[in-house]
Amino acid sequence: MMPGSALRKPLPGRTRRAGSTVPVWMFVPAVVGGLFVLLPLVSVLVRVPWSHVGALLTSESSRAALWLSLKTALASTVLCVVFGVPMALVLARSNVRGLRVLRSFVLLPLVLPPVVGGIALLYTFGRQGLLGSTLDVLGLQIAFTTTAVVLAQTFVALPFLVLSLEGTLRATGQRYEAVAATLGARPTTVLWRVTLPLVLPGVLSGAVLSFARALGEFGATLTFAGSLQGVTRTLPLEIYLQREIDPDAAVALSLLLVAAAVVIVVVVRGRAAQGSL
Amino acid sequence: MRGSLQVEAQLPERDFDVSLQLEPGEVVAVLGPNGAGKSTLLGLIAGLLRPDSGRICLDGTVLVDGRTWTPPHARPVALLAQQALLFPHLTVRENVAFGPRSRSRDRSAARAVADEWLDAVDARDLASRRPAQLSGGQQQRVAVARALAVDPHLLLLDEPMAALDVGAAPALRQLLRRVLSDGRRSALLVTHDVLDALMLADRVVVLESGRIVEQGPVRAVFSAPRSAFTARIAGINLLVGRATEGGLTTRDGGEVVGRPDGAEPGEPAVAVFHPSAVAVYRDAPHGSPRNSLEVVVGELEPRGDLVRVHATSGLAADITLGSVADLALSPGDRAVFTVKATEVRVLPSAR
Repeated sequence: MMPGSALRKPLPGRTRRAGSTVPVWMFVPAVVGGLFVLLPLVSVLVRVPWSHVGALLTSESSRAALWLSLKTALASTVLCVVFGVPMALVLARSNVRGLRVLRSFVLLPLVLPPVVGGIALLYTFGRQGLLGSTLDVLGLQIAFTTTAVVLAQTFVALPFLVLSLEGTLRATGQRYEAVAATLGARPTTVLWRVTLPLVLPGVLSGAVLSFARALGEFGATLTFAGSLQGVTRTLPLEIYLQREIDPDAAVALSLLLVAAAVVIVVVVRGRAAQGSL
Repeated sequence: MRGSLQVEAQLPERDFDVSLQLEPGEVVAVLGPNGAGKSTLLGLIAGLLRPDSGRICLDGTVLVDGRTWTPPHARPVALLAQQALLFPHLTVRENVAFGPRSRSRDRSAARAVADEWLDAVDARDLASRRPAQLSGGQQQRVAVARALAVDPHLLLLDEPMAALDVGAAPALRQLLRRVLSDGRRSALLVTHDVLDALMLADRVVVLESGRIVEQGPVRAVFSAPRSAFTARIAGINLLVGRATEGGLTTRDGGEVVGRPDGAEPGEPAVAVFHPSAVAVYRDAPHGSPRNSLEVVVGELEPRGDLVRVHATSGLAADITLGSVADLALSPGDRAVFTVKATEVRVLPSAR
């Protein structure tokens, strides 16, 4: 008998799952951890006032927050694509000096507390800020405007697109680009006709991730943009506010963000599965 | 005639130092063990690698030297790799039209060129398919069309047959033989296979550890190998002549019976067979359907439990120690090499 075939046979008295190397007791903390993630989501669903959820979601303040969130998250996503795609290309394809340091700084917003990001933006674009005073002379005020919301969201969401796309670029490799070059394609032609079409799934999933992060942004927005209905009060800010005034409305709006998160996770996972083929 | 190439390039980091010339229209096979620098050579010429010092010149234009650097897209050079690397998001026709379009032809002109080349490689019926819908052999055929559609002065081939299954390789070899023989470009063919060199190349260059150790006409190099690598891969018997209906007529008028493998009667051909397919006799056996070749025994070379009997004509036979003893062979003896017709392949040789 082949030595390998003995290993594939289920051993009597042990776990029936052949090939599983996970000790049985490990399932206990794993299940506890899983419940810890799932239970709060279920709790929200349980608390949703299903009878008048429609009315809660269409109230004036809800609609204002919803519309503002959609608008600003989309604008941030566009900014993330416009700046993030070139950043990912430079990080993945060029051999400029100091690229490693640069990458670390680009990824900083990922680990920086958003409220600190908000402070940093305030001291950049605020009235007294580094660029703000110059902009002020030009008659441009950014802090506490809808523009500030977009900037805050872009600041925290950008690394998601850059990271995701850089990974896709590295996985795709440069062989197709080399072939395109030997066929006479200039670097710009290679970019538009080969590189970008090949990594389009990475761009899309990066954009979806950025959109999700922008949609949920709270700390940097509150610090840098404030909470003015219809101007800077996005969904998360509205939820936080309503939590004290009208908990039912807060739960109904939360349901909306949970649903959006589920859709996004499904879309990104689907993309990732396709990309791995 | 185009494709005159002068290469003189050093890359100390990879211990690479090669000087090589190609005549216009010439096809040169580059052989050598793994890591000998074959792909480095192609990369330098294609512009994917930059030499530390040296000079590469194609048809009178300097591609690279101390002051000049021509980027890959501006070189009249096309590369065909082991993998077809067809752009997966484009159809077959768009793949072939990619080069002409990149070299600033308009869309319809590029499509026309693409269709022309798809015809030339018998892949017109695949034009609207995606690469993922093609077999490995079909993909590589399309890749040939794509490389030639840019009308390169020099075609670089990096083991184009190596990734194909046994069934698809001969067809591609025939295709390459057809397109390489029109003399519109020169070609450098990196290969591991003596057959590729025999069928496609005018000349062979053997690379070892980043240096050229041997070069010359294909048959000359293989019949008198001067490097260990060449000797090993050339462990094959070879008779030169012209193809006939069922075999080959050698230069001195001898008839060899064999399996024609792409050689048309009348055209220059080689008959190849392995030393292990050869039996050795003192006198020609009568009434046997075999090829009998009278030889004079040269050297006897022990190889494990076999002995390779080298004839003075360059042919070789692998027989057992016992047979050598039974036949009482020694250098200078007359003997007869016989080989079954089914063991002999008759291949068209390069121009």
